[in-house]
Order: sequence, then structure tokens, then C-alpha cells
Amino acid sequence: MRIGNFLFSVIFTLLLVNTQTFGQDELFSSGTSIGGYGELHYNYSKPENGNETKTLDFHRFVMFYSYRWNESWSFKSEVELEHNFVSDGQGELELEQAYVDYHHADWFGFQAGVILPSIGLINEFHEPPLFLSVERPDYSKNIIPTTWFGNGIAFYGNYSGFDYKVTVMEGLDADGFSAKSGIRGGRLKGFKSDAENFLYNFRLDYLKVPGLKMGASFTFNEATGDSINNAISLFEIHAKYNANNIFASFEYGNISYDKGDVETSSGFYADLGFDIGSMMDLKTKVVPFVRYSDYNTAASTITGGESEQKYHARKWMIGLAIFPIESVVFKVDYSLNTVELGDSETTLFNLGVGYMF
Amino acid sequence: MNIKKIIFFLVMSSFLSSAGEISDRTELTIKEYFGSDINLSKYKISLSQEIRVTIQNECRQKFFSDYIYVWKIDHKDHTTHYAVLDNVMGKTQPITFLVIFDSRGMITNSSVVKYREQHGGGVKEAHWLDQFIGLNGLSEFELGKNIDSISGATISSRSMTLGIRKLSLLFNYLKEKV
Repeated sequence: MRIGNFLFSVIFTLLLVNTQTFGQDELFSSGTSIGGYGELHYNYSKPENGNETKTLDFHRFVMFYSYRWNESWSFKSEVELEHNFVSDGQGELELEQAYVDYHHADWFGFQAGVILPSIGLINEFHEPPLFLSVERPDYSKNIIPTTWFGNGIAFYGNYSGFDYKVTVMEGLDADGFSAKSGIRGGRLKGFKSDAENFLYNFRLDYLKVPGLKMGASFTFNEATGDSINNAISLFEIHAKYNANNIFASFEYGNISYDKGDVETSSGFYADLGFDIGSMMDLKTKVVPFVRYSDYNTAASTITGGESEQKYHARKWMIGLAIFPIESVVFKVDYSLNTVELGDSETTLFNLGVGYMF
Repeated sequence: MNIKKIIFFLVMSSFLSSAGEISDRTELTIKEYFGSDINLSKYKISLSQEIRVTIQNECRQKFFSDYIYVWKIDHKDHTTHYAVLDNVMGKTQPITFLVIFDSRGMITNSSVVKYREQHGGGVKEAHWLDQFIGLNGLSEFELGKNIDSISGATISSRSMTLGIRKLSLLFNYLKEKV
């Protein structure tokens, strides 16, 4: 195909678009959509050998804005203000999503801009009514560094119950990795990010069973830094069941490091809740739940010994989530967190209200 | 060269596939459900302001437009079913869906004719849509109760539930018009 033929074909296509736009007007209209979510938290913490702390925090305020040009092309964005204030290193203002989306068909689409890699249950779907605890699970902070976003491109689609997403995006900063926080400190958040070595993320879910979402993802990046280059790979599996008044979630993830003292980080959590409102024929969902979580950001180290115990935390949590409507939730939870080194315990009590629209 | 062909194919097919196929796809969906031994009559029904406002207030969801497409389905000269096509808004894009009613207004089938977003595709699945079978304008449509919500499709599932309820409430009005 010559360049001239190619241009002619494109022009011909554009003419077709102009003449056929009328055909799709009846069931489509261009325009904007807005949405958002937010959450207010009360956090009480009492370490076994320390002073208690109490905070009241409007943790997240997020506005979603999108514009659709036609049935295939649209723009989507999400801006987040954390802790209601930004000054002197306190609070955060983040552009978590801003991308052009092309939806060709159910089986194929792509997006380019500031995007979310598809890792675990919560990184892409993190609105407060979508999880039971006041704060996001510890696993979703320390093993999967939620919310993980960056500059890149992703391809997605679903076919016959299988849903896939392939993401190629900015790499991680290897200097930011730590035994305490795993890869969390390595996120570049779209700020003049590393284009030296891209991060590759593949995710596949199966959605054909009613109420069940289950899948796995693999992520790889040869992370670079000023002081060290450190390739990482992250494998995780996830499952969520929400039907028949049952709320159940499970996630497991493992990060392998090529260099440095920490060789692996790993963890998991499991939630089980039941809507007792259904037994009383209430329209309000009342969901008591229990969670067990176990994570270690330095699960395996070269030095071994105490370095593998210092960041190993186990937590039992009981809680209650009340949904007066699907998009609003009031939450309370009580938990006991035990760090393996010294068996030190911390008691936590949280209250929260969250919404999405 | 190959990249040019791919780009051209994607651009071309994206626009062609989105234009003017909804009606054909709808009739194909109806025939897949009933078989070919039916006669279809298509109607474009205007909705009066009164009926729109009444149902919108009841469901707390606006109609996408002030008219709606209905197919009358005849078996051997008897009208046995009605298929109603409408749109609701998902998180950012309209979802085009079809609800088939029997002659008394009971839902016998529903399906998504066109879905335009990455997320929330669970509303297309038959096992979710089958929950509406047997419901009518007098039924409860309670997301999270008799209709399961869908993880990752909260807005789409809520919107579809309200949209199908709207058509159920509209059924008698539409039946009189065709």
C-alpha cells in the first residue's frame, strides 16, 4: 500500500464517519461524565509499649471526569486529594488517571496516558464501598503498593468470560525499595518517570461464575536507580465472591528481587462477611466480617535472622460494614496487629464513612 | 507497511462497527431467542412528558431520550412478546440493552446489545441478566437483594437494574402504542 493510497483510505474512512454519524446518534450522545469517591476515617492506635494516637482524617477526596467523543474514543481522568491538605510534605495531590481510551470491541481496546496497572483486586477498584475495612487491607499497601499508577499504555478486552489487560508503563525507582515498604517507595507516579526500562504487567481474570471474580497477574520490571539496578517480578492471585449475601475476598502475592538484601516480599489476606440484613428483610446491608492477614516485606533476606521478623505482621480483624445504599458505606473495625520480632502487639480501632458515585 | 494496515483496519472497523448496526443486532438477538419462525414489527414510540416524569421520579433515573424502540413479536398471527430497546448510562458510556416481555409484561429475557466500556462488562453476562426473568412492573428490583451487584461494575449494574425496571413500568404504555 503506497502512502497516497493509505491517505486516500484514511480520508475515505473519515468521510464514512461523517456520513454515518447520524446512524449512531440515536443511541449515543457525546458528552461528559463526572464521578468520584471519598472517605472520612477515625483511627485509634495503641501499641503494646507505647502511647495511643487518635486521628480524624478525610483520607481521600477523588473526582472523576471523562469525555466521550464517540462510541470508541473517550478521555478519562481521576484527581485525588489525600488528607485534605497539601503543604510541606503533608498530604498529596495526585493525577491518578488521565488517558485516552479507544474501545474497538469487547475483545480489544487500549488506553494511553496516566494509567493503573492491573494487579490484585483493589488497585483498579479502590472505592470505599468495594472493600469492607475502614482502611484498605495492609496487603494492598505493603505487597501491592495501591494505588499504583504511572505513564504508559494498556491493552484490554474480554472474551467468553475471560478478561485480560496488558500494561506497559514507567518503571520503578530501585533506590526507593526497602525492607520496610517493599517496592512501594519505588513508584514514580508519572513524575518525569523512567523510560529506560518499562514495567510489563499481564492480568487474566475469569468472570463466568455468578458473583465470582478470580484471576492472577504477573509483573516484571528491570528497575533502575542512581545507586542500584534491581529487577523485580511480582506474581499474585486474587479471588472475590459477592453473591448470596456472602462477601469473601482472598489475595496472595509474592515479589522477588534480583539484588539487595531482601530476596522476597510476600503476603496474603482473606475476608469473610455475611449480610445479616438479608435475614431481617432489611434493604440496608449489614455485613459483619472477619479478616486475617499476614505479610512480610522482608520475607526472605540474605542476612536472615531478625531481618526476616522485623517487618512480618499478622493481623486479626473483626468489623461491620453497613450499606444504606450500594454507594454509601459506614464502617467500624477492631484489630490486633502482631509483629513477629518481639511479638509486639498493637491494638487498632477504626471508624469510617465512604461514598462513590 | 504492516503497521499502516493495522492502523487503517482499526480506524475503519471501529467506525463501521459502531454505525447503524444496533437495529440489525437487536433483531438478530430476538431471532436467536425465538428462532426464525416469527414476524417482527418495529416501532419508534414517543414518550409523553407525563409518563417520562412519572417513571423517572419512581426510578430516580432519566430516560436517555424521549422515544423508544419496540419490536412486536408475532407467532402465527398472534402477538406473544414485545422487545424494548433502550440506553442507560454506565460510568462513562451508554449501555444499549434489550428487554423481552411476554404479553402480560413479564420479563422473559434481557440482553446487552452494545457495551462500550472497559470495566463493568459483568452486566453482559447471561447469569446476571437472567435474574430479571419473571419480574414485572409490580416487582421489586433491589440491587444487592434480589439482584446481585457485581464487583467492579457497581455503577453499571445499578444503572442497568434501574433501566430494566423503567421499561417494566413503561410496558403497558408501550403495548397500547403499538
